[in-house]
Amino acid sequence: MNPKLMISSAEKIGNNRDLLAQILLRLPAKSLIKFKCVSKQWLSLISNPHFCLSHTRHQGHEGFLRPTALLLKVEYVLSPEFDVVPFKHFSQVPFFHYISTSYLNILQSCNGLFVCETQDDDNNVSEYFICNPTTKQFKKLSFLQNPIKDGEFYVSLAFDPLQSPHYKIIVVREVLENSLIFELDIYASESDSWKVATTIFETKEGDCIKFEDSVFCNGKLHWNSYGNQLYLDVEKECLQMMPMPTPLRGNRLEIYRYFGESGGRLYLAATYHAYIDLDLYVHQMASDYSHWFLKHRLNMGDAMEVFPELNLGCHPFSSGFSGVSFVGSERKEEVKVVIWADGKIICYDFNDGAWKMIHDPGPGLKIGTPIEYFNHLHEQRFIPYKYFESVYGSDEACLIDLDIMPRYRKVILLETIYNLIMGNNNSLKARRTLNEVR
Amino acid sequence: MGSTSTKIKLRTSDQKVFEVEKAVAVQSQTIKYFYENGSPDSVIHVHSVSGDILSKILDYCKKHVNSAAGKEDISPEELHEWDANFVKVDQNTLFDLILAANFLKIESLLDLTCQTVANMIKGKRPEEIRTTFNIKNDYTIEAEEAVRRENKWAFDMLGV
Repeated sequence: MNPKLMISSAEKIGNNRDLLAQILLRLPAKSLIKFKCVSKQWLSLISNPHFCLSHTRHQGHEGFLRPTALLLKVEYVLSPEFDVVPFKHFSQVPFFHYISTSYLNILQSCNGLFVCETQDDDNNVSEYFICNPTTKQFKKLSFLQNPIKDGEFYVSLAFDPLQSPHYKIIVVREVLENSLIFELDIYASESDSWKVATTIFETKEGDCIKFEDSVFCNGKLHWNSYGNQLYLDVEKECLQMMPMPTPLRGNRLEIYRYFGESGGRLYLAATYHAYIDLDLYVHQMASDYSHWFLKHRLNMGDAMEVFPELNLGCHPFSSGFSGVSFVGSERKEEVKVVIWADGKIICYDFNDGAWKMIHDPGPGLKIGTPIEYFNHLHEQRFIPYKYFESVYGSDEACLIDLDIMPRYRKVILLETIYNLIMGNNNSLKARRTLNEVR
Repeated sequence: MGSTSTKIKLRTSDQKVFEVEKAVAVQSQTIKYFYENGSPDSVIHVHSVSGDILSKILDYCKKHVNSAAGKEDISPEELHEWDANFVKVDQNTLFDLILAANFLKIESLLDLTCQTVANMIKGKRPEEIRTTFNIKNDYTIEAEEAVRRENKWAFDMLGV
């Protein structure tokens, strides 16, 4: 073949924006980010919000996005650092370093966007923002009602780029301190406007609604609770109720529960109090929202038979597993229950009822940075956040690219311990350390 | 069925003439359009496609038509395998196939070939991409460095 002719085909494709887009749509998000510096034309195409939305939609399987990695954060520890578990390929997740804080708390991960809060040195929430770490886009949220008041204030996100390019921010705001009366404020990115106090509602003490633990699924935002659960139909902006499992199994009190979703279904996994407890009860919500059913009682002892190197239950009252999340399987119906277990990531695959190794860092190595405050790695409870490598943040007007933001001071990375419940001396000690470093 | 035996005549850029079964030829939306809007006996000129490339593309269409019509006993996995072998060609042929699939409007072939190119280039460096597509780097050194720095994490070699 004539070499001149050969070059021309490649060049023709390179100069044809539609054809180029067809190829770029099929690249992983990470490659796209890398190829921003090929040329200004590539940068402009890859930064175009319409292209980014098409790209994200191209990544969807049967109406759902699949997470590319899991971020594991130690409960009660505020830091922009996370342990990363890649699901497919090695993926160096871009962390939140570009955000100017050492006290960062992820509130929710929702199809490629995170809602985070930052705290000042006195442990007061200073800012809320949403961000996409893949593209480093972020937006500071400003509220019509001041969040830094005495009453409780919770921020959640409803975002599914496969359904809509827009997102909504849902704020649950306590009207008066300890009144248990709440109002809902809703921000819509589409109109860039707030609706304040769309709904007012009262909760009962026994309900223990955890507004900080929200799951967006099927267009509805669900809040974890121990009594009647509230969920919000985000489109219609109306509240509805559904039952929740009680925190008791027989006479055993629930120790921890993981509330999540995968492929349009809600899941809840719980552990119960015992000296050594290796059981994990996995519940699934019926599709008509009438009840939860026990899908399976997983016994981690079975996992130890498959993977003898796992040392679970060696530490009283800390079974050695946590960070439970629910992830869809490729071209398969059933869900996988992904678990941090003694420094490795394993899963129970409901498709074939088998325990599988998802990520093993190697002999003697463990996933999970040991935090000084805890005596043993098993005492640290990991909270999982799904990470979706996605170039779509939202419609351009609604997320600000970091490039046009003023330069931020460099983040001091320090594992800082902050015990939310106890508020004890440890946080003071940690803060002192932080000041010394500064 | 008379329609299955109907033939369509195609003439390529290098003046080669192909006589193709209608069911196979109309996999191309472009050919379908010309056939339905022209006189049935006239030769359709696929002026931007060479004989070599058209012949490959017709193989692809034949395979997929036969498989869909149940003329050939082939499982979806086997067809997938056949597709994977079909695109095991040199880079220039692959690009020719993309341009032809785009011109002829054969959606599934465009998807297959673009995905193949995407898999081929995803791990490459930006410099290699410029060479592959003969793209002129229109950044200044400083501007390129800034974009690179901003997206440093995406450049680790272990990735993708």
